[in-house]
Amino acid sequence: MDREIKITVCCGTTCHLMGSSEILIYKDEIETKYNHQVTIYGSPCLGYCKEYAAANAPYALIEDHLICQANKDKIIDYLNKLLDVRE
Amino acid sequence: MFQINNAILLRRDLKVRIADILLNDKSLTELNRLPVMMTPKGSESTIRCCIYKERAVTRSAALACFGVGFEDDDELKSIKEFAEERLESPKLGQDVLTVLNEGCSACSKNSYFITNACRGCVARPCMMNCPAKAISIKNGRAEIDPDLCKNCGKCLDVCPYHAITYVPVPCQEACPVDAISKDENGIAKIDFNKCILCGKCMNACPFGAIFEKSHMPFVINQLKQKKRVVAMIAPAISGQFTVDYGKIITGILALGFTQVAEVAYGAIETGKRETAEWLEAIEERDPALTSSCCPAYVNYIKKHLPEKTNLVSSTLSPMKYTSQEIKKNDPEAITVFIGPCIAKKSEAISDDNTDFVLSFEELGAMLAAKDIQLMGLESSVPSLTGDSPARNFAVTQGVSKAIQLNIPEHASFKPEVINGIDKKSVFKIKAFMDGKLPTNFMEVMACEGGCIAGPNSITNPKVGVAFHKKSL
Repeated sequence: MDREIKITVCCGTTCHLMGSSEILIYKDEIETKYNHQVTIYGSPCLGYCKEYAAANAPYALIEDHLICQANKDKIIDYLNKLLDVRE
Repeated sequence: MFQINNAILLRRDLKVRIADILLNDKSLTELNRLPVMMTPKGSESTIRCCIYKERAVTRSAALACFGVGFEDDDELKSIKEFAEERLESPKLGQDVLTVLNEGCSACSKNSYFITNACRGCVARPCMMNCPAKAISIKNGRAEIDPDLCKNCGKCLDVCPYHAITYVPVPCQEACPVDAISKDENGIAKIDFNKCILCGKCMNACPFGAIFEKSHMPFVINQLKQKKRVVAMIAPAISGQFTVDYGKIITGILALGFTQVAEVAYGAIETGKRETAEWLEAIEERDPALTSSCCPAYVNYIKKHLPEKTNLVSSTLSPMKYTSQEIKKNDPEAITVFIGPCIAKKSEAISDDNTDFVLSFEELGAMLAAKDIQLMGLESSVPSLTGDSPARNFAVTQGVSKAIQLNIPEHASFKPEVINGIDKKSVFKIKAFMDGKLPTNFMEVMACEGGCIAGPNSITNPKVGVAFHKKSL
């Protein structure tokens, strides 16, 4: 194992309303897919909804990279790029 | 079962923006800017053909949020003018749903299409078996005449190449009671003599063209006028915000509600009285009794099986017992039911004690607009509380289980549970009504999974159920 990748999914009120809990359903699936090299955390409001508008919620952070309108597929796409995984 | 999609998210985004304008005392002129703000110049239209169409749909949707249906729209009036008019005198009608004609994609009324896989075979079973004589062979391939086709589906069954495909009209497919038809332009139309307000079409429409007429602006108005507004929370709320039950209550109080009462309080009464009613009914008749707490089911019986109304429990719904209690203590209080349900609006309009209905989606929009973060709050207790069996009314089988607990040992309680009203389960309801099932009680929930998976729930039912169990 090279490094641990931390994914933070915002679970503030706005992000929750826009579907962040849908991402957390796949926590185990995504973590297992990458041999537990990644860990997904739910977090209290990260404040992006005020900075960039509610329409782009839910927000997720993969290390320092911000994902708007985050969903399972977008997270997996970015992780594949980051870890150079080809599907 | 309820599943999230992009059209639902657009609707929620709009509701957050409207809640923001109203709750944070912004000028109502902002409402007129919503269509452009949501689809600004130069932006790429995400779903529809162009940004202009998207703006037109946003306008209609915003009007629906003020209770103005598409049929009442006057294009010469601005959203602000409509809003001012309705805030002054809210019109709450039984026709809770509205089709935004601009948004409706007028899906083809014909559901069967011949694909390229057709080889124009010699046998031609499609042509031979079509009862409407709608199929002919042109250029070596079968073709369906859309004016003759009756959508029977025989051609699909008989094609040896599986070359015929079925493309449903999603709203019509979702409607359990065939209340949706199409006008001459193919635009969906809801027949409110048939519609039971289950709300399935609203989330099924891939173009987000079916909208619910909201009470949210009127509730916000009451809160801003500092009236004594009491929130009556449906038990399904425990699974909606993925935080502890008590924190949700604190959040609602922070919005300006003076009291939060659990509807489960009324559910205790409903459970007791329904049991007593059932014990009487089994002595008199078979089939004995069905539950009455699901308003979409009650609408179904009223509109489709009116001669069987006597078999539906006459016990009031938990909401009605709760609102009665609140108005008894404070006749001036404004009672607001907060739940996942659309049909509850039709029930509330006919109930003198319930003034408004908010959906979980709208509650979420108001919390988001006020930037109330539930996670960091302390817990509060509700002013009227229920117990575990009463809170379990929110999930399928909950009502039967609550009655089971109240029943004396000698009686044999044989419940049948209808978990979701759909095109198939309506036959089971009819069979029970005709005494063809070996059961003596029927619990009906219009939504699969129960209220927790209602049309306006905001959390995936899988997650919701887990949090709901914690609250019991």
